[in-house]
Amino acid sequence: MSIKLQTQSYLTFKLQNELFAINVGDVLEILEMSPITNVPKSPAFMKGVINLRGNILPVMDARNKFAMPDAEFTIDTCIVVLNIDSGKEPLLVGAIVDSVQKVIDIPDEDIQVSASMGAMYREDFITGIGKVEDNFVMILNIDKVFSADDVYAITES
Amino acid sequence: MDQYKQNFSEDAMEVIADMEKSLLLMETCPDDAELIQQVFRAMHTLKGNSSMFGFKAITEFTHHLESIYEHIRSGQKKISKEIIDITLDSLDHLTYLVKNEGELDAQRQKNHKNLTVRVVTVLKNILDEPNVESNLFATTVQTSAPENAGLKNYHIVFEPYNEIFYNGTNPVYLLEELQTLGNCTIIPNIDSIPSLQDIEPTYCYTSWDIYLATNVSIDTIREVFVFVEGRCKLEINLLPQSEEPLVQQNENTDYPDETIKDILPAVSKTTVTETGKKNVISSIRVPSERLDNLMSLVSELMTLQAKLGTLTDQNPQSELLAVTESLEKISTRLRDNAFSMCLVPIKNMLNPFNRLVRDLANELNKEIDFVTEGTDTELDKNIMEGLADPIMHLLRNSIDHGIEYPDDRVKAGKKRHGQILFKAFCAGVNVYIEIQDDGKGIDPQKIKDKALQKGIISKDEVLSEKEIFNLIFLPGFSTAEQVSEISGRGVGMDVVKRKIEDIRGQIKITSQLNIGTTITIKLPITVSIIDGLLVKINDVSFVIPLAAVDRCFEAPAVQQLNRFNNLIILDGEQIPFISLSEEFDGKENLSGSQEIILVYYDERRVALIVDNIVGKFQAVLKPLGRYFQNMDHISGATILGDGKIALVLDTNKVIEEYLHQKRLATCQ
Repeated sequence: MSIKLQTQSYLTFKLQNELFAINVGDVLEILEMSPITNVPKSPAFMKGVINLRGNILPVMDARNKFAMPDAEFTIDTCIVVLNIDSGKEPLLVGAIVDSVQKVIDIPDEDIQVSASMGAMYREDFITGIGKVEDNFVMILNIDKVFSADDVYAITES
Repeated sequence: MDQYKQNFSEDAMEVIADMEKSLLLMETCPDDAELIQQVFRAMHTLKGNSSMFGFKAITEFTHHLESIYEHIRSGQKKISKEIIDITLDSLDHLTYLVKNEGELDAQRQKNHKNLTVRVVTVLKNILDEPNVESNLFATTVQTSAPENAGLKNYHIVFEPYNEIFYNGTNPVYLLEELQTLGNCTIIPNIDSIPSLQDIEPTYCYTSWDIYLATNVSIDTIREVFVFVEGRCKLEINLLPQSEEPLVQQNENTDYPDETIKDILPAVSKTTVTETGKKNVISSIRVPSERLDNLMSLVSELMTLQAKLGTLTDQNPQSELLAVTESLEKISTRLRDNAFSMCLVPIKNMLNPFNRLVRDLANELNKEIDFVTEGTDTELDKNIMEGLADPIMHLLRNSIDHGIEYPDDRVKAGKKRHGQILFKAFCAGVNVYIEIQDDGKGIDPQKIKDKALQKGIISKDEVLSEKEIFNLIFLPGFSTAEQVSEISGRGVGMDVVKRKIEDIRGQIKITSQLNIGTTITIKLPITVSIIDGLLVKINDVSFVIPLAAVDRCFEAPAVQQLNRFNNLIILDGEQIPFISLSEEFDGKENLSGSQEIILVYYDERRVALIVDNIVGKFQAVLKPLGRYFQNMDHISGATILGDGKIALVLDTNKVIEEYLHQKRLATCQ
């Protein structure tokens, strides 16, 4: 069930001028921003839930995950629907990103192991750094970044 | 092949469960021939099936058991407690065998041997009894040779259909089984095997003529073929008595076919042709996963239906109205049908309970009748699954702590036999399950003392009897003075309560000293649809389950709020209130009107203040998923007609959390 198609294609998106990439195999679809129903008393980065064709889709703000300040939603703001491998049943989650850029190919040899990021981001969030033209993109390990167990741990404490 | 194994183990588990049920019944009426017959037949099925799939351990084991019941069936032996005990133990063992496909670890290996020895001993005892007739050996013990006297000759034509292998049947096993019945000559008929180029390698082309000299009845022979019923042509003819058994003189020769054919017309024909028999399938087995899928699709359809309704209201064209209306009728019926498919009668879950009461009562030397009532009441299968564990625990409690020892009962002027009544009934949209015992009951004083001792309540707290009994459900409370092996397994009543709440049920306990204890569980019929009140809080829609709502009040009543200790006067009564907008968003909605919903919180009532009440709404409950797994105050979400989401509140949890916070605040 949870065997994901891993290709060398990546979807890039922006969060506060930083460029991030997600393997397209993890992306189900990209939605326009729609009204989100907030769940009272939930942690701040859990934005709420939306109606995805009759199903309840939890939505997170990707900015909060990287300790970036909240931003006004613009016309470019999107919800990327991701398929998270939680080790159990497949999970769907929506991630709010500032803007979706494009799909690019990054061959495996152009991906470097992430050097120490300092205290900026949790290291296990990043699978590697890809080189695209003259830019670097951070390739995310979405199973870690948007893990449901993490939510649980944070709200517990 | 794995799929066949899966089928086998499912079938086998069912057969074993049936046997267990019959056995427990048998205990009360040991002479019921029908029951014995059922058990025997079930064993035979199990034996046959397991041998077909090559589970040798199961086959051999069942064979011994079956032999015992063969004697009981023929009236040679009366059913005894010993036999039932052994059989029940054996069934447990068989369950294990089936689950593990016949593989055994060292511990089980020993168990297997022990049980086999026990079973064989019982069998031996039966055989050694003097009144056993000699012809018995022929039918049950393979090794003993049949005597010629009283032998009957049968001519059996066994012609499997081509596809017989597809079911995993090996006809040779059937022939081997026939051989155990008596002296047997088997003549294969290979005429219909086509030439090599036309042959379909997975087909069976062989048929057999079998001449069998035996003293068993025609029914016994037919039973050998019971698994290939409808998949073969089968004729069993009784040949006229001759001085010498036909078969024995003809062993290993090709039998002169004509002789038999000449005799045939003269014999009393009892031909059984299975061909014409039509199997009308009255029920089918569906994987529960598919049912769940169907349910979620139907739920989506209902949501879509609601959306269409809203659209139609906005664009009232006569044609559209008509379509919407008929679609609504159909989808409502579809929904009702789909729901009824997920309903299972409660009696399906009773078997393990029967067994538990019996075993535990034996173990504790208590005498207990387990009586069930209203077992045809239906429940959603998902609820049923969640219910088994808590009920097991409650029954264990009743047996261990409730019902007294027989002597003590007599002293207290009660019947020697204790009784546990399991009663299920339907009332309104709820199903009630009651577990009543006529044991010693619970002493409220004891509970109070214990709660005091554990620091759950303070000394000067005044509690009603109901509140005292509710203490039992608090975490860390256990009334048994000594934790016994039976009910003190680390699961307290708090876990029972939580599990019941997980399936949106409620549990209540009442008890009278020396008369007994009654536990009532109130359950919704289905988990996925609830009736609720649609309300708005700060422009966000919420659904409050109607079951919790007592009544609603208009806005003007809000004027009488007492902000100091959050009390409100309604109908001359002081009622604590919670402003939900304040609770959820931390800000008071002072603009506009407000409305009050009075909800039950245990025995008390609490007023919830909302911005406005939209109306009644039937909500299809959807879980919020793992990302919100500890948001207890929200039991799920539902999609409204306009596609927006409304959250379904669990009022009990909202109030509980509110009180919890209050308590924390006062402590600081």
